Amino acid sequence: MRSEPDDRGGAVGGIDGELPASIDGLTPSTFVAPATAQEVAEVLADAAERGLAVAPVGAGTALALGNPPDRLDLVLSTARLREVIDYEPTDLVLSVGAGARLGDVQTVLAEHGQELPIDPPRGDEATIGGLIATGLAGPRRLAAGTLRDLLIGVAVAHPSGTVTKAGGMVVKNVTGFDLPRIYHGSLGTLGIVVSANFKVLPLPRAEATVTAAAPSWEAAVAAAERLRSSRLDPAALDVMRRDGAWSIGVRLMGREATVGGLADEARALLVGETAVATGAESAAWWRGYTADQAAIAQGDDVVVRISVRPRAVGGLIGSLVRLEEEQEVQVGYLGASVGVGSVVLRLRLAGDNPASRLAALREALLTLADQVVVLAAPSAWKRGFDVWGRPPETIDVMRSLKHQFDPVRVLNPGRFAGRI
Amino acid sequence: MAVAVEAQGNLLRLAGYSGHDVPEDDLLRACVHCGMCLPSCPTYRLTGQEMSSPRGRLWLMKSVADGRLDLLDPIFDEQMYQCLNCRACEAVCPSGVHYGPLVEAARSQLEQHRPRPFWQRAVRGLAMGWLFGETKRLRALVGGLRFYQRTRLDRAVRRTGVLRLLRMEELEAMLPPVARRALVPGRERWTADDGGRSVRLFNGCVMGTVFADTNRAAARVVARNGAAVDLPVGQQCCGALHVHAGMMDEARTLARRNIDAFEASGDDPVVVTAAGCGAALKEYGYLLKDDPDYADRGARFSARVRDVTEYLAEGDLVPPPRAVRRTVTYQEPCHLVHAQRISTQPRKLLRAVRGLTLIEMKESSLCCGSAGVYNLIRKEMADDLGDRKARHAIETTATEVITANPGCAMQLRASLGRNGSTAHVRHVVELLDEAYGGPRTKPAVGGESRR
Amino acid sequence: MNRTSLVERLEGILGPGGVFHRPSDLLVYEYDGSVDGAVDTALPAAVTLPTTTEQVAAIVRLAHEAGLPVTARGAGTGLSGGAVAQQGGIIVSLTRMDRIVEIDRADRTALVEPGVINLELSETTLPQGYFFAPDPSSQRACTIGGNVAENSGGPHCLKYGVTTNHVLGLEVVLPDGRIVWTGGHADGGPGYDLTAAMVGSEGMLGIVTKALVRLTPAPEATLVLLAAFGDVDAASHATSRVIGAGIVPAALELMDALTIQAVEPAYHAGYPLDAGAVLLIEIDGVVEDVRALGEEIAAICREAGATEVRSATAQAERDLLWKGRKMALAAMGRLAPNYYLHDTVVPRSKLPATLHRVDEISRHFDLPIANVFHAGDGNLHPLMLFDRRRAGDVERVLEASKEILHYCVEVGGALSGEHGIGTEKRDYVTLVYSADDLAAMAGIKNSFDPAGCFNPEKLFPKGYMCGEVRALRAQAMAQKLGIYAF
Repeated sequence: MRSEPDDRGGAVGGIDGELPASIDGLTPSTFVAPATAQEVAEVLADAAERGLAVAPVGAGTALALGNPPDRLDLVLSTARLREVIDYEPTDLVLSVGAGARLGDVQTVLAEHGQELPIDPPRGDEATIGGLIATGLAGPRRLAAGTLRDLLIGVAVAHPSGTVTKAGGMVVKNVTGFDLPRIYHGSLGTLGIVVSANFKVLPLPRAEATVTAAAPSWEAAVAAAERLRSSRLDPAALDVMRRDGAWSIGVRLMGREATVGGLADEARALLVGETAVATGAESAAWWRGYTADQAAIAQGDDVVVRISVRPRAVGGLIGSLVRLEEEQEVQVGYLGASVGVGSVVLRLRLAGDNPASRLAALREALLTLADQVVVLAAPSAWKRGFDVWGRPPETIDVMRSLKHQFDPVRVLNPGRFAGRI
Repeated sequence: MAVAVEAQGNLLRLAGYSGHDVPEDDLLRACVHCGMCLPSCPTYRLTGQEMSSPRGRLWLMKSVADGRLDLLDPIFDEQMYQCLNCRACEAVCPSGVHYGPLVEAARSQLEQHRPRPFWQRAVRGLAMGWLFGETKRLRALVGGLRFYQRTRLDRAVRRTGVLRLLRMEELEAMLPPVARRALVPGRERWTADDGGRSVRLFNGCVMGTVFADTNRAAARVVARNGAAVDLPVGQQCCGALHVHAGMMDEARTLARRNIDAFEASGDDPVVVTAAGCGAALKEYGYLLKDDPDYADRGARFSARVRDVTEYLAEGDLVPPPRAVRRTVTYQEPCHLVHAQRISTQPRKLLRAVRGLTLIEMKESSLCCGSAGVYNLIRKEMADDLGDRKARHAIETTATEVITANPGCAMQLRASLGRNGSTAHVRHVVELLDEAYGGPRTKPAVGGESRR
Repeated sequence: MNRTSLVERLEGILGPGGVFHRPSDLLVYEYDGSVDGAVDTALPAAVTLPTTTEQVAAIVRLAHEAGLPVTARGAGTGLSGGAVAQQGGIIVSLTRMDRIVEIDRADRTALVEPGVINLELSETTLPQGYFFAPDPSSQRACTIGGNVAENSGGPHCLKYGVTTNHVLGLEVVLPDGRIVWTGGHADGGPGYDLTAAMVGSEGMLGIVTKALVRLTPAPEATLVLLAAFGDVDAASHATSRVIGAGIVPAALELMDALTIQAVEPAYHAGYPLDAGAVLLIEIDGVVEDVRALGEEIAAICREAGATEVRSATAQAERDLLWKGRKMALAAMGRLAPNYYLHDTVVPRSKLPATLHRVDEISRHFDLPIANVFHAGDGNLHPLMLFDRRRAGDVERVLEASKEILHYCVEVGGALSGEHGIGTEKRDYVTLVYSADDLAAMAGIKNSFDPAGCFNPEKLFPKGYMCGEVRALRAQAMAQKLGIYAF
């Protein structure tokens, strides 16, 4: 069966969630929401034949991510691919449609005392497919890794009209190239993930978050280092500045009987006033703290992620503080995952010609770190540079990879690194 | 698929194994080339090349057996003799491959079939057959060496540079001060007061001459622990050097003479101070398995053999009265740790000495490069291993490196010196002997040693 | 390029000591750790032993120019034929590139050359409180480069993950001879995750010349439990109960009766000889958690019918309990002259049924099969015992493995959990992947190595990647879609 994309436009209204009117200023002519993997493949094959450009969309929580698309004809929503395909609690594996929202998936898992140990910013609303495509992660990756470490299998629809699978439903598998990990973070430019299989883990039996205010960034980083080299093995460890005040947050997980003691130890390693949140409150604290890291452009907000080796985080924060003064940038929010080496800024640019000021800021940041990604910014400001940073030296291999999977550039043309 | 030997463009028929001491097929096939032996092999560690690994050498042996490689191909000769026969691979082999007997058989094949220049045969015959074939001759030679050191002739000779000319400098650097008197079987014995047990000491060629005082120390320590010690007359060199060189006939002759010499003492333990000798003596049963007269007697003899550290650690050691306040490190002789799997016992003995600090060196069980006479014939590789060993020993800050084999002792002495260390090299029993009071040691309960 | 000039040019790059080319020198490079009969041997045209990345790149450029196959080799302990030069050509042996370049405690990383031995990295970093988590059974001998190529696992990957979870970046020589870095100290590099593509790619995409790997802090406390059961069913059941209780042990290993009977007399690890199965469960973490979890697991095991539960925390006691597991292969020598170690994965809940099937297959082929494996993640290692000198034994072993593989795939398992596909299982790949699935994998291969010179004949079914088949496939695709051309 070969479907006409136009026929499906009407189906969109029945889908919950809002579909974007435009992506970075480009308005698609068509919306589709296929109900099966095969339909997704057919839509893609059809688009390939007609030379149309397709943007896959999940919950639309990270649409600001990426370069403005070269072309945009069709938005493909995965919203109807949201069922739990297979869940074997005793095997700790889950297979779920790409359109399922992480929050819903976590609810299903929690009924069996399990979870996906990830906490991407505003992740509960995001879809599984979107999280795989964007590869965005939160503070818990310090101990638990990212979604890619849990991804054990995928089914993917290609512009060739085929649906392929890779990996499987077992937690250990070296049958063939590790395609699931390659799709992770590829911004849907190689194919559209229609379903994914994950290794899931038992929920921690208890958790606690200890927070403390810090008089300076130096004090905050020093405290973080003390915690990191302690026996506590934190689940997350961040230094942050919100509303101009520095603070530190550490998340501890373990058995009911031990977490309290660990929290006391953490307090002893911190200086000054501390606060402890436990259970749901602890998780909620992190949701609140990371919300500003989402790749969502609110007004003229710019969200930037800078990655360095963990040992360089302190130095980077110091440099950022100086840069803030020199460049007259108003950094409203800074969140740094210390052991990971990732710093996310949400900022505003003062004065005239913000587009060129953003370009200049980005250049300045690239002198401080190799990896600088503009996660979100007003569309017009993003046109002057590659939001993903400098193209890697392997860009030709990546182009060739793109060519193998999507030779006529149907999927998100121009949006990914190197404007692939 | 066969690899033919290229010889002036003609294909030759490949020579396989023939004659006596053919590497046993079943032993060869036990190797499943899993590669677990690789990191244990000193020559593989130095070269990183597969042919210099136990697995590679076994594959070469198999290839000869299968007619895919010529027995006289240079690589076969090179690899069978590059091997130190340290047997480290045997200790880690998951399939239990008996590597030692295989490489020894392969060498024997080469000895039987490889044409050697006349002078090489003459030198080998003279050194291995004549000199080591009869202990009396060796004693005479060592007596000369002692004279050479004693009269300070060594300094004079060194000044002349003649050693360098004869490429014997290194050999001289290895040589420790030679014992004043050789230990001659039948002439000395040690009694223990309770008189219940008795032990026969295997004297060995180098141990009984150059290191005669180490053997005496061993005898005193054993006597202090309640067993009378004597040395049966008629015993010879153990033949290990011959086995390692593939000179199986010579080795068997020596083995038979030793079995004869020790048979009169029934089932008394045969205690050995040299790891290399111990390993060889424990394999007499295998060496003579095809000799109808000696196969069983060889096996019985082998069952009696104990390394001196093994023997002492079996029972409760009489606590040595004196403290030895010193830092030492222990270098494991290959033929103790790998061939005989004796590793904890020497350490147990060292820990029994009050005041002694034992600091383990890195890679304590990696071959030091001595490997019998290997350091004389393959100097470069032996020096590399010796340097590596010396560096690890120096790192421990020990002032004494303890070992349990004469070859290791000599190689360590030279390597430490070359690397600027002044650490002494001693045998485990020498240290124990010191802790018991040295030559004035009294047996456990009353009694006294008699000469 | 004729052979003489090839050798001359290689010697120009490496010096005479770095190249082997005489037929008798090449003999020892025709095999790896794979079982005879399951994997064919093959002779390379030349073997190179580079010491620098630049030398590797120069060798690869030369091979590229001459159109010669290139096969990278570490210690050659692999069990799927990965290091065998199936089409001849040049072997790049990386054993002389064995330096630990940098250990960074603050970043918890080590930068190593590919020839570094897995266990020696951990031994180097443990005094500072860190270790390299992937611990394949061959860790005493295998190299990090090989671990990267095969995405190696090990008992402790139940908690710590496999090699890919511990590789941050790679210096790679691409098939055209360029030297590039993928990934690095900082996460979040732009573009596709080529590091992930490289890990587990069986040497088909590039040669790793440096690996930046994660170091894991050594746990504060470790506890090993030994639980004995009447049969493997009870032990499997207990495994599910432990996991179901929300506990992730560091390792959870199962040994069956045949294994116990081989191991215990040889190593006296303390496994009850009358047990039908034993579980070896290791937990680690902060000291108070470990103690409590140990008691909890012991209780679960008893409830599940354990006849005996013992625990050990002291290093020596733990080592002894582990010794039986680690030396299990060695002990098999007591039961039969040869063994074939298989590697498959099934969903954990399918373990009991799978073990029954394995038992049936064992009886049907009159072939003793011992089971010693990573029960926690369903990674089965049936050990088939045989004697290659007995006529028909090898054939029966291969037939039996085929049946086991078929069954594991039927119940939703995978062909290999940690050994790789190589040539050993390449013809089984179609059991799990369709032609389209394989086409996607071929897409990865083609984007790195369009000429197909790197480790040919691995992973894909025999003949799949050769020119003719590729052309046919492309034609079929073109007819179907008009666009999709490989």
